[in-house]
Amino acid sequence: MNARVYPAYKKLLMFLETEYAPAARTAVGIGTSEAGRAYYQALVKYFTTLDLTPDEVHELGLSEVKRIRGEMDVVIRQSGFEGSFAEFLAFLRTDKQFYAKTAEDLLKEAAWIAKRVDGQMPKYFGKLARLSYGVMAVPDEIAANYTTGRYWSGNPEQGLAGNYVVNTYDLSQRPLYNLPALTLHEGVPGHHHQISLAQEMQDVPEFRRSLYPGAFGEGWGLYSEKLGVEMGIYRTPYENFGRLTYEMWRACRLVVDTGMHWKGWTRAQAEACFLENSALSPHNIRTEVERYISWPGQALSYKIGELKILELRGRAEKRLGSDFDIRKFHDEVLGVGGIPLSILEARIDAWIDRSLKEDISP
Amino acid sequence: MKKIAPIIVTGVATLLSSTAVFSQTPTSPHSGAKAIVSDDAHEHVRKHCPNMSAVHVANQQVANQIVCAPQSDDLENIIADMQKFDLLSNPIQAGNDGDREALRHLPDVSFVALEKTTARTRGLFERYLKFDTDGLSEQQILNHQLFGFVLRQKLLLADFDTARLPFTNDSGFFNMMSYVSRQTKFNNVDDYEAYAARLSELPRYFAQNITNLRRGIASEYTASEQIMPGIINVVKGLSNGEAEAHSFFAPLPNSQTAYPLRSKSG
Repeated sequence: MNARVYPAYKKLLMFLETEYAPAARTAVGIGTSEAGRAYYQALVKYFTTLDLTPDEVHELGLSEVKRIRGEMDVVIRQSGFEGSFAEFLAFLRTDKQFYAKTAEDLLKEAAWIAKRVDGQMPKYFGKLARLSYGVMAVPDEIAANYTTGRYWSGNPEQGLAGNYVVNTYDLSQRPLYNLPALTLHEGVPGHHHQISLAQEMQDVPEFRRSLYPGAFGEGWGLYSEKLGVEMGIYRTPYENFGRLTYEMWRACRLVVDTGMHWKGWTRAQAEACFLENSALSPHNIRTEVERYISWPGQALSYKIGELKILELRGRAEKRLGSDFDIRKFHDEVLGVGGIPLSILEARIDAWIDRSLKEDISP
Repeated sequence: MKKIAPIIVTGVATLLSSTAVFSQTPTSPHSGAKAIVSDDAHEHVRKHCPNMSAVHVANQQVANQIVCAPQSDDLENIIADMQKFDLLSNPIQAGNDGDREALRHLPDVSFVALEKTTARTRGLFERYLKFDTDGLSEQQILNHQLFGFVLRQKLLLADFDTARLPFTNDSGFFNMMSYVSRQTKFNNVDDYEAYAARLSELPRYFAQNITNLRRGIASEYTASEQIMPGIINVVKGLSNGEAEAHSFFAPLPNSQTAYPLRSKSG
């Protein structure tokens, strides 16, 4: 440590402070040059796996923001709260009932939600992952700037469980009403379920076990949050509002990512979308917007992927009618590991056709 | 796929190193077999095996001969080549997959290594484009589609020299070991020694990343100033303190722990 690690870090620190930070770009987006715009267009294709333009993504984001905002208004009325949208957000951001007192309490709540979801899984999936996963805090040394939660994949062959890491830094910024959506996304049926099933596939080339097109994996994660409604995971209007906040978060990402990297938006414009439309905490909004500044295009994958999966589910329900089986649909979506959305669509269409043929055959 | 018997070309083996053993059927990291590929040897193959796409020596008994494989590539072989190349450039993954030697190393992110990786990807893509999908099973067609997708994704960003900016606001080369130290499995002394060897490569790994970042400065492709205070704070935190209290030290046994640390019973 003393001979190699610390000297390496001290040298890196000096470089960052004296040479790199002074040269850091002043614009938040990368689209200020022709090369930057070409790179951003490539990133949009890379992360969505679709041939969408940044402008199309931006418009889609705006329409989703409007739709979700309408759903939020309905939930506020259901909660019995009397006051404006902004007052409701202020209530959620400040009332102590919505915040854990200790890091351990937050982790226990996350673990309890995860276990309640476990109890619902067989109703929605024919095939379950063999690998288990744990719940742990984001390591202290990286927590301050780290995202709210993340999934760290395991390794079934090496006997390593997956981990749902929950950020316990600054508990006043970690509202409990967001926790069910986060848990569904990072644990099961979200990332842990999808990634573990892929890792456990047999008789496929190795690369397919770890193939992770962002729009598929993150789209599945966001779809899982919505599936939690059917699973009965959201117990209060506040938790349901937390879900909608997370959905709004991903819709705003479409607007904000393209806004900053394609349309020349400022950071303040980006933060306004979240502050005005969601119950995300100010700290969360700051770190998330920094994430979009530093990872152009990645934030687009969630909503684009979720919309495609919902579209395909709607198509299957319509064409199969009463023969639609949610477990079979989910198994079909996840059955061959991570795939780009175009291949997913072709596979689901083929599955619907096969199911219809089976239905009419004697 | 129809397989054509390999053609054996003799007389050039002396031009090769005695250890230059090729494998068109790339070895899996689990197989235990060795495949040593030299660029010089590839050049000789191109000369002596016109119209042949690859060369292999099937086993050690024919190591003094070069065997020219037919033009028609096998899908499994091309995919296996990609997987082998991926692991070559990613010792973290290779180590997780059971490669003992890889557990001792961090990635090589030098410009030369990155160029080599891109050249390999382009080579694979050329082979992919020539591949005839007639007669493939449904499973093979899906493999083929996804293999093409992966190569296209890699090449989509290849020309943008993404190594110039190797971090986001919360993650990157500077804190990668926080994740690696927690996701590495420790069962015996060898595991700890491999981990220590990997840690000792941090100076080289950071120096390569600094070179890449300088290339970003020179070409005016840098991180936003908005995220730099957070990055610097994390690096500062990892630069200080008592060694035994450092998070990277956590997996290592302390003075109260006896070697070897195998599984405990009872």
